[in-house]
This record gives sequence, C-alpha cells and structure tokens, in this order.
Amino acid sequence: MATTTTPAADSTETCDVLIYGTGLVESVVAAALAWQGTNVLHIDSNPYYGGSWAALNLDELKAWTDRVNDAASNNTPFSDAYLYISRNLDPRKYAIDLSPHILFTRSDFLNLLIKSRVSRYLEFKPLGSFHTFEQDSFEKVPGTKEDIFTSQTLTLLTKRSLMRFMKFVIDWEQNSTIWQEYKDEPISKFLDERFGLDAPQIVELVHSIGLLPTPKAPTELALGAIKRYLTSMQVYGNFPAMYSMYGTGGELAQGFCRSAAVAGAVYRLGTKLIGFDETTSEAELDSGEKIKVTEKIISSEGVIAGDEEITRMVAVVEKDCKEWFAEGESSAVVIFPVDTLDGNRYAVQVLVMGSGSGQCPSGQAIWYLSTQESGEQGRKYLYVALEKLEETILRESTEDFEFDVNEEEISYLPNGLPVISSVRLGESLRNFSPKESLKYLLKLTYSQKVTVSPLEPTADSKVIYTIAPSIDLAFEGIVDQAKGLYELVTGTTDDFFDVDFEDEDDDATATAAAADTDIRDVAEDKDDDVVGHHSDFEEVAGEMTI
Amino acid sequence: MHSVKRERTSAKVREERRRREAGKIVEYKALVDNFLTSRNNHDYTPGALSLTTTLLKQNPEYYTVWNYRREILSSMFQTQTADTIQSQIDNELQFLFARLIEYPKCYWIWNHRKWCLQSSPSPSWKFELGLVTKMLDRDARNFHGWHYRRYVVQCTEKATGKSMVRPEFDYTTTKINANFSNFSAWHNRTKLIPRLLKEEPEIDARKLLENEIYLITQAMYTDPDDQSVWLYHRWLVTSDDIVKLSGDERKDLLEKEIKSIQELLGVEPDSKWCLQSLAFYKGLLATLASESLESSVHGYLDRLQEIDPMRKNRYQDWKNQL
Repeated sequence: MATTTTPAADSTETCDVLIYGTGLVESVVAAALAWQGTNVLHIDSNPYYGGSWAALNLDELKAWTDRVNDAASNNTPFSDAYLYISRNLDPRKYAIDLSPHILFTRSDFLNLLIKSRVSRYLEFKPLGSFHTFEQDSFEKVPGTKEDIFTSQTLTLLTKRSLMRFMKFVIDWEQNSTIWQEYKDEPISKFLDERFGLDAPQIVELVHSIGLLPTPKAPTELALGAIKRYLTSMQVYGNFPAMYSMYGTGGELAQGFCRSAAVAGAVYRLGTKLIGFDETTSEAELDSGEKIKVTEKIISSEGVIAGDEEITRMVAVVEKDCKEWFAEGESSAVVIFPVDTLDGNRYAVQVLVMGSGSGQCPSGQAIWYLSTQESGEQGRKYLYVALEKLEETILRESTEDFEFDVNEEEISYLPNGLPVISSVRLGESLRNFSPKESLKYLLKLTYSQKVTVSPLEPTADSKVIYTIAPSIDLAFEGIVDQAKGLYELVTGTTDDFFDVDFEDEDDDATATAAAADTDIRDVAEDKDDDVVGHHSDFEEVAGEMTI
Repeated sequence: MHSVKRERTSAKVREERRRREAGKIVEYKALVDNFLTSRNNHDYTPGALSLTTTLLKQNPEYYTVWNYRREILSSMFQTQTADTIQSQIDNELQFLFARLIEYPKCYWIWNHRKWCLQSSPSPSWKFELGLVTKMLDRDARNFHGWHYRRYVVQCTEKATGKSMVRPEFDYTTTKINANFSNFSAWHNRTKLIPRLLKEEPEIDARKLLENEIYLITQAMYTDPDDQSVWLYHRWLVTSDDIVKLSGDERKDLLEKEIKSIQELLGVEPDSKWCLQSLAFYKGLLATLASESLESSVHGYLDRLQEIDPMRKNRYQDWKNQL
C-alpha cells in the first residue's frame, strides 16, 4: 500500500507536512490534506498502523507491553501494563483493541466516513444490545417507544415521564428555557426536578444510553450524549451503534491512511522522528535521513498529555457469550453504574466482542472493561466487575439451572402473563453456584491518559501536537479535532474533505451529494406518502385528525 | 488531477432536468393518444396489452387504462384454456407485484390484483397472505394492505373452511407491539374480537375486555397524542360487541376510565385527547345515569377551545348541544 521512496545519495526529501503517528485523528488529517494536494509524509514508529488506537495481535501485544512498561522510553499515553496470556494461542487469530470505541449511526464521524468513502474499505457490524447492571442482573435498556410500551415493569406514570423526556431530548438544543439554568448542574438533578424521573430510569438514561461515567455529569453535555443514542436508533435498523471488524479504531485509522495514500501521501512505518531543527526546518528520522518540512509537523508522540488517567482491562474468555447478543449481532455493551460494585464513584463500561467481530476465534469472546477511576482503585473495580460478568455468563449459559417454584410465588399480570416473585427469583439466582468455571485465555490491565475536557492543540511553532484520545466509549470529537489541526495547517476548514472523486457516472456523484447532506435529512419523512424512517419520538407527519 | 473542487450550479442542473422531462412528456402524451385510439377501436390484441403495460409502468394511477387492460384480458380469456389463463394471471400477478413495490398505496393496483385472483382458476391464497404480510412489514400503516389482507383471509377461510380469527388477532398484537400508532391494526382488532368471542366461547369476555383496556392504557400513557389509541379506547368503552354490560356495569367502567384519564390529564394538562375523551365520557355517563351534566364538562370544552383554537367552533357547537 504505502510507497517508500528511496532518497538519492545526497539529496534531502521535502514534504509540506510531516505527520508523526498514525492514530485516528492524524490519519484523518493526513487524508484531508493529501486530497487537497498537500505533500504529506506520514510516519509511525510502530510497525503497525493506528498508534494508540491500534488493534494488536498477541505478539505485537507482548512487545507493546514491554515498551509501555519501560518508563524511560515510553512516550505513549499508556502505562502500568500487566499481561497474562495462556499458552497455545495462535497469536495471529486475535486483534486486541487498545482503545475500543463504538460508532453511533447519527454522528459527524460516520458522515465523514461516508463522504470520504473510507467506509468502503471497512466492514461494519450492528450493536444494539445495551445492558445496565441492576440488582445482580443485566437489564436491557428501553430505548424506543416500542420498548417502553411493551415493558411489563415500568408503571404508567413512569412510561409517560420517560416518553416526555425522550421527546424533549430529541430537540433539546431548541428548548433551552427548559435546561438553561441546569446547564452545569448534574444531569441527575435535572432529570429528577424537571421531569420527575425515578432513580432506575435516571441510572439507565445516564449510564447505558448516555454512556456517561457518573450521574454528576453536567446537564448540557449529558443531554447531547443521550440524544446521540436515541436519534441513532432506526437509522439503519433496530440498533443505535456499529463497529468495524478486526479492531474498532485501528481499522478506521488504516482506512484513512489508505485514502491518503491514494491521494498521494507517502507512508513509512517503523520510522522514528528523532529531532527537528526549527532554523533549517529539517526533520531527522532514525534512519539518518533528513526531511525538509515546508509547512508543519503534526506529532502525536511526546504529546500534550491528557489530564486524567483511566484504567482498562481486557479479558479473552472461552465462551461465545451469545446469550448477551441480540439476534444477528456479535457484540454488546454492559454498564455497571456508579455504586453497584462496592462503592465505585465512576461507572465501569464493558464492551463485549464476540468472534463475529473478527477479533478472536469462534467459541471465544473479548471483554473490554474500562473505568474513569485510576490506579489501584481502578483495577480493583474492574476486577469486581469482571467477577460479576463471570457469574452472569456462567449462570446464563449453563444448561442445568433449576429451582423449585410453588404456586403461591406466581402472580399474574392483568394481561395474563405469569410473573414469579422477583424477590424469590433474585434469591435463587444469588444462591446459584455454577458447576463449571470460566477459562480465561488472556488478561491485560493497563492505564491510559485521556482527555476528559477537550484541550486546544497549540501551534506556536512549526510543530503541532495532537491530543490523546477522549474517554467516551463512542467516537466523539474526532472530526472537530481533525478540522482543528487542518485549520492550523491550511488556515481554513472550508475545503476539509471537499473532494471530487472524479466519477463519470451520475450514480456516484449522487452518492457524493447524498453524503454531503446529513443522513438525518434523508431519513426524515416529511411526506405522508413516502415511507421513511423517523425516530419514535418525533412528530409523525401526516396524522389523520377528525 | 484529483482535488478539483466540484462546482454545482443548481440552475444548470435544473435546466438539464427540464430538458430531460420535456422529452418524457412528449413520449407520455403519445402513449396516451395511442391508448385512447386503441380503446375506441376495441383493440384487444397482445400489442394493445403491451401498450397498457408501458403506460401503467409510468402512471399506475390512470385507472381507465386498468379498465382497458381488463377488457383485453377478458376478451383473451374467452378463447384460452384454463392452463393458459392461469399462466396469464400469474404474469399479471408478477407485473402487479413490481408495481406494488413502487406504488404501495395505489387503489387501482390492489384492485386489479383482486380482479386477477377472482379470475384465476386456482388462486394461491397462501402466497397472497405472504405478500400482504411483506407489504405490511414495509409499512404497517398502509390501510390498502390491511383491507387486502381482510379480503385474502376471507377467501382463505372460504377455501379451507377453517377460521383464521385467532392467528389474525395475534398478528394485530404483533403489529401493535411494534408500533401502536396504527389506525388499521386497531381497526382490524375491533373486527376480530367479536368473531373471536363467538368462535371461542371458552374465552372470558370480561377478562378479554380487561386485558384490552390494560393494553390501550399502556399506549395512552406512552403517547397521549396518538389519535388511533383514543379511537380504540372509545370502542372498548362503548361497544356492545365485546361484553353485554348492564347499565350499572357500563357506568362503573366509564367511571374507572374517567379516573384513569384524569390522572393522565394531571401530568399532561394540555392533552387535547384527554380533554375530549373526558368531555365525551362524562356526557355519556350523565345520560346513562340520568343525571345532570357536571360543570367539569363545560370546563373541558372551554380548555379545548383555548388549546385547540382551530376547532373552537366545533367545541362551541358541542357546548350548545349539552
């Protein structure tokens, strides 16, 4: 894919922009610049693409662990890696995601993927299973009108409050009178005082729909996060999010690099930038070569460190975990809310990737856990969450679960459905001790510096530093960051990915035109006669009234 | 060279489109002239048939052309064997299927399909049910589909001698659970319930009514703005086709529902449908109990005039009739 140029004996190579690191944001910028005719040289000290976003096979992972633990030379956002790998695993059958993320179907990043056509290099899979850990079990999150209507556990008034909130949040930016005074207040306070929502609903909205680390998250931020999930439902089907196969971030970074290469950017992996002379504008690589950089250097290494540290854990288990997946899907999100794991201040977020994700062989699954808690505390809570996951999967996948029920413990709902006393059920479930135990094939814990509050990349010299990946489980802020860097180089964002891919037929240009418009405009059904998809919570056009 | 910026002049695009369409209009007019001449000449040849095919592909709403097509087919059938007729009909059904995908809400397409099945020596009702189920998967609110479904079910029942009331009832339940904002599904339910109660006498009608009220109340609270829900609720509360309630039982039911709606009104004070339903039910209650109307009914109608000023004269009319 990348072409390596062989410099002539004593000539210096020149480029307009040298980008150091093939992380996601830098790769987007590389492609954007290359398509606008900029001469880009894109290098990475690793022998793989993706940087901090990469998905590594087991050999690469071992090397990475050693690098990361060598404090003297470590210039990644990662540290404190502890790795256990079972013997006899084929290293190439795994793609361990260092920084897993999911992609919401209504997002500027997805729009960019389509507009740039990088989506054509990738294979995406749906993710519709979001669970909240409540009272020792995983409850599926009610995120649609259908879920709320058919729920047998929500009261009538709760259904009304939830629906009223959902309708508001779809359009929350337009209704600032309702939330303006709560702008920086905790979202839990807003949901309670303004919408009368109860604790269980608040927990689900905050944690599993908003993917927020705590109910103390400020209201303005939280409303955006909640809206993101709800408006993403029904865009492509009954799921709000997707992920790309073989590694959620690394593949995307590689896709943008490929796009940049098609546009003329030059790629060199396994190449370090060891110095830059401001006076001669010459960059020195570890091969000894000197590159003259006429415009800027964008560097992701030796970087503006993020202000917070999160803790991550990866566990490869010998279970397919299909009990957690929706039909036709191979992944799930499980959230352990605040205070459900012996006093955790922050949620623990788990992304479960089955073998269908291409990250592991069949019959296995990868559990990616993360929490905003740092250090020893962080690891402690991840281990507690891991235990709960283990209990739950063993319980749900076991074939020999039995317990006795007598008639008195069964009551009937008005519509005839039998319901077993939940106290009794909970008891039995808690007393259940599985006959088998879970086999772990790999365990990895590590810390990662991330950006919680978005920092502005500064550019006082020719060298611009990028910022570390954000904490969100979803891709957030990628496009904004990329545009920001692009502007620092070119002075504008007007022509950011404004590309004519030079297709001859009308169809292709129609696609490009369609990609220009927000997917939402295409999806919104304003004509009564045309069947389209619309969010459950928006006004349905063309209602009959007598 | 790549990175050439695309200049989209919309005026240019519009002019281009106009030019293309002008050509198409001339073509279409010629087709129509041709068709009118053909029909006046009673041309029932295969050539005429393919003329109608071309025309109908462009404009299925031109029902006269469908009439002509049926005239042609009928004339052809007169001299054909049952097998030939069947294969012609099968072709028609395939032609119609493609039209339906493009124009799912065109009366004449559904109508012609019905005619085809009626003219068919051996119609496949199983296939038709599958087809209409697929169409309703694409758009559960297509009343043409529901109407056609009732027709298909009726014919199937006649052909097999077996009632389909139970599976059809369950089908409406599935559709409603997926999206209860569906006039047709609720309507179908009102047709099925009386039949269901008649055909399965072991069902406790009162329990069924209770369950339906539970279901509709969930819908009411989930989306009080959905009119289809209120229409169904009104049927449940006032119909004699579910349970023959005594005067007192009817009063109790009304009072219970009034209370439920008032609770909803409490959290949604501007709900038009709550107010309308309360005004109506309270009016009904007063009539049944031979009592004078509560002043609250006037209150509801006053409030309705405020929040729904487009219909204020209608509410005024209502007030005058009290």
